Amino acid sequence: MVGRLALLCVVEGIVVLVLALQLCGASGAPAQDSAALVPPANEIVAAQQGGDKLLQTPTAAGGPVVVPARTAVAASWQPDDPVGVLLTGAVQSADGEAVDAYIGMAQGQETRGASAEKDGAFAIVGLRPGEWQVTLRGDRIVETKTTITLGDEAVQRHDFVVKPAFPVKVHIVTADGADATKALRSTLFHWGDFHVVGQRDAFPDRLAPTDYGALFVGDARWRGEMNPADGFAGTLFLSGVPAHVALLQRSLVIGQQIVQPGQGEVRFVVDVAALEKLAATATLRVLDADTGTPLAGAHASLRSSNGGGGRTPGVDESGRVTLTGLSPGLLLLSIEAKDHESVWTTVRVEPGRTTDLGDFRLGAAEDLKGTLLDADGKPASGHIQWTELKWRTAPTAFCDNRSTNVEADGSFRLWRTGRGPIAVQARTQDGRVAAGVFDNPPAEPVVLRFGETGECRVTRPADPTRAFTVTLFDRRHLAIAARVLEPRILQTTIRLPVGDYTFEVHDDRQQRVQAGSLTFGSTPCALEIR
Amino acid sequence: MNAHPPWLRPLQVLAALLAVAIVVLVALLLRIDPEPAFAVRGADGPVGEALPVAAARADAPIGDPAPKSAPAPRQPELSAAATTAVLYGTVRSADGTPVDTGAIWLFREDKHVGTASGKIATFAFAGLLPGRHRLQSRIDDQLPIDREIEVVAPTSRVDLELPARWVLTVNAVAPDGSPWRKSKATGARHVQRSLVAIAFDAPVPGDQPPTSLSAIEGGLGRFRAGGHLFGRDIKPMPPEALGVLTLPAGKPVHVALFLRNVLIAQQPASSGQAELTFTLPPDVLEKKLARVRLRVVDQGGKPVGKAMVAISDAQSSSGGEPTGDDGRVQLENLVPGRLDLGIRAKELQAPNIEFVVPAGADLDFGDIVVRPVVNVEFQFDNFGGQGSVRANLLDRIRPDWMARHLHFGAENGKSLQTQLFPGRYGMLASSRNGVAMVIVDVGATPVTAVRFDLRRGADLRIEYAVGGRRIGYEVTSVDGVLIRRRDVTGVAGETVELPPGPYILAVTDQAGAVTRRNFTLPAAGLRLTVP
Repeated sequence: MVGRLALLCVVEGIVVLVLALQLCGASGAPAQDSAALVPPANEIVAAQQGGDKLLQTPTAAGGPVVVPARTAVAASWQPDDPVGVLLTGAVQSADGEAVDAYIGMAQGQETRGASAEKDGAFAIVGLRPGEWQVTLRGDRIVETKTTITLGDEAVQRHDFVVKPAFPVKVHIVTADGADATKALRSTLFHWGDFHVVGQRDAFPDRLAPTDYGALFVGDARWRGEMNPADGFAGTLFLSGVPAHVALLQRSLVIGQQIVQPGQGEVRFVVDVAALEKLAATATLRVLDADTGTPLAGAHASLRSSNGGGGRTPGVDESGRVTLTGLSPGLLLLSIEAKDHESVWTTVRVEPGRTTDLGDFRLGAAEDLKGTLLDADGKPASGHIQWTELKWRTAPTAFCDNRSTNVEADGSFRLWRTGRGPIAVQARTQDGRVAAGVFDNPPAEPVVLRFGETGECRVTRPADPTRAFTVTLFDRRHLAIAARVLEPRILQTTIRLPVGDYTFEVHDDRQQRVQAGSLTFGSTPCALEIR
Repeated sequence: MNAHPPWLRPLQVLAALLAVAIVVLVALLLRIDPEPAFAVRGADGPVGEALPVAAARADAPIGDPAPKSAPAPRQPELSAAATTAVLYGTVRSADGTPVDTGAIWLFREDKHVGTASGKIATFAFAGLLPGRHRLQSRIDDQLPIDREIEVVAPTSRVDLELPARWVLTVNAVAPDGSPWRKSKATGARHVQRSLVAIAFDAPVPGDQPPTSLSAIEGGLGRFRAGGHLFGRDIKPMPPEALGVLTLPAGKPVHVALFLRNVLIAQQPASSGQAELTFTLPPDVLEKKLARVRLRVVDQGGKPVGKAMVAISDAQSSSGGEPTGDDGRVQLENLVPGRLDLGIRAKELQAPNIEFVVPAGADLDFGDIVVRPVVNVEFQFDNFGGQGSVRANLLDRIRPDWMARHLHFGAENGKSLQTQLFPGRYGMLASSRNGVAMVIVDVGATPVTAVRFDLRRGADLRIEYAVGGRRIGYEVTSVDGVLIRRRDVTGVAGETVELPPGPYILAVTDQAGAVTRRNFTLPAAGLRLTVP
């Protein structure tokens, strides 16, 4: 009896000792970074910051071992941890409702972003301490820009409050009450749909032309219905009221109205027959460059840069083709004929008028071949685009609807090109650029080589009536890059290999407004369009 | 009477005090760490093997009642404060190098709750409900992961290490050593999209069941076809490379070339082998291509000229070939598989059907009757802005033909107008507001308007765990309304809400044998294991 009691006391004493040790460990040990507790060869889930923690580590026997919990304190971020600083939070409107928004953050050249969930919650990793510019965008909110400063803690929280946008239902009907979008689609099927814009100030009667299917001006967000019915075309989310709401067909201003506070709907009555009279017509002739004879079997199309256009049944016996029912403004012209080079260029057609685009003399197709190398001379991979300068007869953007692939040995081939100078650019996702202008056929092998890349930050004035084209030239004064700044683009960055370039700026009436030289170097240069 | 030893009383007191001390210490420990959070490690078996959890499910007999999902709207709106959680972390490969691009999906209770894509060396999911989640990945040239993660509020971190793998480049060359894909043989031009390499742990006995996919997947690891990933900076493969197999490290495999579901060739490969080359004579693929001949006629038997006839798979379509004045057309160089027929001639249309085209077949379908289409308008005003209608022709055209499963989305407006071949259709409408199953006689009136009386249904959970094998399954109502028709491999499942009632499950095994069984979906729901 005494022996058994003694044995029991010894066992109980051991248990008390073990429990006491565990209790001391749970209450006294400082928190450590979760990364430090992670055995490198295993996955571990680290529990939450600021609360209780439990880590499980597999033992040699295979079973989990519970590590004693520690009191959590805020951990500092680790510069070598890919997660960096985790920013969590919520986006709510001023009335306390969760909003659907995209949170974009920028610190110098670094950008991060995430979309808020349905309850407004968001999480962004990969941040670092310091100042970040934050932009919040969403259908139902007013675009908001702010700056926040992140501290050294590994997990931080910041909530954003944004102003709700003002939704206005937009109805677009014909005079007899029919759905005008359907009428437009059936009458002018090469045109895109109507586009609705809004802002506080009145829109001018004339807007800068675009080669896109819609012109983005103002500060409202348009959500058009994919299948409009009964005249309901979509919802416009205004930044404030009162506001001006305009109905556009690309850059054509069809009408505008003022929306007052409390007004939930706006109605536009459209005369589709009158719109039909504004449709443009273009005519051109396709000839063989060597013989001068009409190219039978050639096809031409004129469309916006995002699709939407027409394909003709082919040129007639004189090589002429006429394209009707075109949406006025800038359009992408492409001409193709079997065994001949192709034409890709941007042209302008005027409302209600016929534009003669002239003769296009197509030679035999001579694909330009080249090699893409990295700085060390090894085959590189990238995304190749090109523009044949002989078809660029006006200061327009380089057509970027075509691209080609690079093979494993770095070789590439530009398809359906012809004779003459060709501006070629190669880009990678990490921002490297290689560029050059090469004669076709080339006198020597065509080599594009990645090297150091420079940047130029271009800014323009806010003016919806004007678009600007910036063209950069190489030492031979051949265009090597061209960028269009439409009204909505107030600043952009052009990347080219380091070096000296000359430039010209033209407005949408093709008037030269500025010229000069730029040096792309290790620090970005700037071009302010005035 | 014996006297008590002198130590007895002190030992009794000491034992009692120690017992009290134990109780107090345990209570203090529980107070500090009441509910520990921990992650349940998912099984890390390489892709292609049945996971233990899934295997257990596969053994469960059909008819296990499954808990019914909460009715839509499925979850209450929550503020983004401490009640929701954030899951974040890193992804790295087994050799410790960061991962560049890919996609990670997060599921909770079989519902998709988040996607991270693009550069996923780090990721974050916000607005999560605490609890068990499932995380899956798809990253080029890496083996996928499929893990269960316990998410706790406010934040949980997981650092994922992808399974160890080896990368095998599969080459295809002509007998003269030139890249096969640049061959001028007829086979090269028509089959590039459908020619893939699949790895298995044993030689493959023969063809896989016919499929409507452009190219099959399955087996061990993952195959990435050669060719260029537009806009991506992944280095392109040499021209002789058919593609790249990413395989579990440490085990040899048998690599089989499939032309859709037709076995072309196979070879073994040792663990860690860098390249494997198949030499393809020019006619080895040409002999597998099929031909279909038919004549298009109207209801009066008159030939229809200039009708466009196209035979396509589920992932690609061709413009088709026109019939001659005699209504005849011959389509050549068809890649065998389960293909669908499309015939249009102005306002005339053929029935929407699928059929199996065997390898090397020369099929004569005879006369195909086209009829004037019927305008159908689906009413979606009670769908809540999302959902779909799936429909299939119930009228049997030919014994060996199957009805195509047509899909009409409800996201783009309150109604949708379309044109269908006249006949009886089984239709299943699904939305957040419920489901409905109807049989509609399209063509009974000039314009058929269909509105669905949506009601809450029962959840049918379909699960399969077939490893690297491929099987097909089809679920229909007893009236023939097609619910699901799928070719599957691996381990996965899906949940579909249906009206309670009797249904039929048909399973096609790897050898092509079909087994059918009836089951009843109760109001409480059902978990169905396939096969």
